[in-house]
Amino acid sequence: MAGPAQFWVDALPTLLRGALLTLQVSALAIALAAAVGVAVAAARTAPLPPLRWLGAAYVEVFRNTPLLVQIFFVFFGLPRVGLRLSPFQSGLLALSLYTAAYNAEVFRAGLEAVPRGLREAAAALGLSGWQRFRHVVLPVAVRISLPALGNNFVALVKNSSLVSAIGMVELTFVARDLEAWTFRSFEVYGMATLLYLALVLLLVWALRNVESRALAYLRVRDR
Amino acid sequence: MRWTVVAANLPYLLEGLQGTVLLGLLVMALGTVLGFVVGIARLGRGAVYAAATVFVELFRDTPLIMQIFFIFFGLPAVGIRLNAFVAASVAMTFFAAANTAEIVRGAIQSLPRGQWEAARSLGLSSPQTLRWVILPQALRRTLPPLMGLFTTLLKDTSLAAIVNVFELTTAGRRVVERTLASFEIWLVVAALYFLLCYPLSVATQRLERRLAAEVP
Amino acid sequence: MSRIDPIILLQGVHKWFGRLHVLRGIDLEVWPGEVVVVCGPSGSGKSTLIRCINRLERHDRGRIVVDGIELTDDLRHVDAVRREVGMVFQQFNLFPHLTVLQNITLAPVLVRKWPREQAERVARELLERVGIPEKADSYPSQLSGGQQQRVAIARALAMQPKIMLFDEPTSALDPEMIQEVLDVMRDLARRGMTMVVVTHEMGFAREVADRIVFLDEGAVVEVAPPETFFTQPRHERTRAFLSKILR
Repeated sequence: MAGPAQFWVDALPTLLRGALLTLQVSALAIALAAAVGVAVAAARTAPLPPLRWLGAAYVEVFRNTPLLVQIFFVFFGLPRVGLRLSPFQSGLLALSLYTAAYNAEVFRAGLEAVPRGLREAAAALGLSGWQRFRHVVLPVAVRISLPALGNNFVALVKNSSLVSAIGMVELTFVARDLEAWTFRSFEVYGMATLLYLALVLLLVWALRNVESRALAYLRVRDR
Repeated sequence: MRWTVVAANLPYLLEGLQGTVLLGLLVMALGTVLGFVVGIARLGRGAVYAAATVFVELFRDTPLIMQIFFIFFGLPAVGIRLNAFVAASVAMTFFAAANTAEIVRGAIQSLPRGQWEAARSLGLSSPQTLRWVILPQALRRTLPPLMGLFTTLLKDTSLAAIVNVFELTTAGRRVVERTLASFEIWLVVAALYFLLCYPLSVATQRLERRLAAEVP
Repeated sequence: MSRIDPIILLQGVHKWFGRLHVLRGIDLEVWPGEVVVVCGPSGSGKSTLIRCINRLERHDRGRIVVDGIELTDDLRHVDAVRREVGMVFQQFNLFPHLTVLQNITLAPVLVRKWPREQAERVARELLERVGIPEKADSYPSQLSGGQQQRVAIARALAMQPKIMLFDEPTSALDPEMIQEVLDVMRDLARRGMTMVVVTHEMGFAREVADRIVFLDEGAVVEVAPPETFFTQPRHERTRAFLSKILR
């Protein structure tokens, strides 16, 4: 076997390619999970009881079953009813739906935390129901939700590792593959772990930037 | 759909469920004990604080599956060889402990500073203050998030399937490989997990509401 | 009777919160350009009364007609009334995620469909008028309570309403900030705005109000011009209230 330097020259680019795919699937899933999360939260707080039940059922089902089983169900189970998805599509779908359930709870808490006075002020100005939601309630609720939402997104990046179980060639899959070929399990998993750590810290840093911009209004000192 | 396959294999799946419950209870118990130790260590200074912080960040900020791989496949390289069940248990215990430690620290820090100051000014030492004043109050605040963590841990025992520990997900996979009834079996496996986790979730929400009503 | 119609008309208005009967048959007319101060002990229903006028509360019985439009469950009527009626709240209720200028231009752009430049020009004029033109790009949390309430008044005025409702506009303010808000309201009254003001500021009422309405236990006890109201109140309950509040 080649020396340690040569080993890293070979292994690192492979691992980085895996990390890139982890980043891609995570980024897409973050966007999807946010959108679905808003929709489910809206359903959970809707005036129509059947919509509320549907929203609640969604949240409970996806939060009380393992993500890995959801991934297996989508990838192995759905083809039996005619829906055949690639590993990437399956992973993206399961990750998004799973995280959306958690996001929905965060958004719902955010919506409920919007002071009643703000809705009243918007109504008194003559804004329509949709305008009140779109321009006042939602932006305030999203800002209230941001920190908890960030935690969900960090969890999502870590959870994306489970997609390796259905053969998506992301960081975890690449690490296993590399280990099977090189038997350098300690180094390979060590490096893969560090790459995850880097991805998570990168995301935390990005979220902090978004937060400090979105929450500029909380800075009490005058500009 | 072939639901007779489900009926025929249900006993086997339930055996798997036993494995899930066993692994879950083990990890909850060990993780909680270790988590309290680490959480209190994070209140310390110097090397103790640093070690506890590295432990918490490392196990919270990386995927559990990586931790399992590292301990199962990686440690043999330095001469520590564990079987799959023990490796998965150790990894999940560390994962549980790191998260418990954060819960404990959060609960302790959410108490008003005045509690420390009042106890110290009465002449209690730091450990005495912790033991008789802080922990009794912090303990109840840890309960709802701790129960939430237990639900997460129960779901996460499914990751042990990736190193072939016998539990519900492994049982499901073996049945699917034999019968090819993937849709039915994965649906039933999910339902079994739901039956296990949902009551715990409901209990957590109840407790949250009750404590929120008591604590001003 | 005058041939001008009242701009606000309440006839036999009742309101219940569950079993609590908060408004018990209110009759009230407000004429264009008039300043009416509503006062009364806490729990007398004065906030509920003013909130019924732009239907933040729905009245259960009786009629409310604002600017010729009757308030019913028809949402188009409600929207039409809200466009013509500005409201200032005790807690300001500025939108925390928007700057002062964005707070003021939001409704004119969305509801009146003004071009942004026009809305911003009007907003800056209004900020000038309430004395804080330099705060246009600040966020509400960066302002004092008195400044926030002046922005809230400017925000309501930007819709060019025919009527302004004030719900205890100075009750949440530190004492040293009350005057700057009352000054803005005085100026508004001088310019002929129709105003309904719920307040405990009796100095302001004496100086600015055309009529004072005294409310107790959900009913109108007494309506009088300030001079009569303060010097010769007719009802025992009014006298008791005044002796407590004027001390």
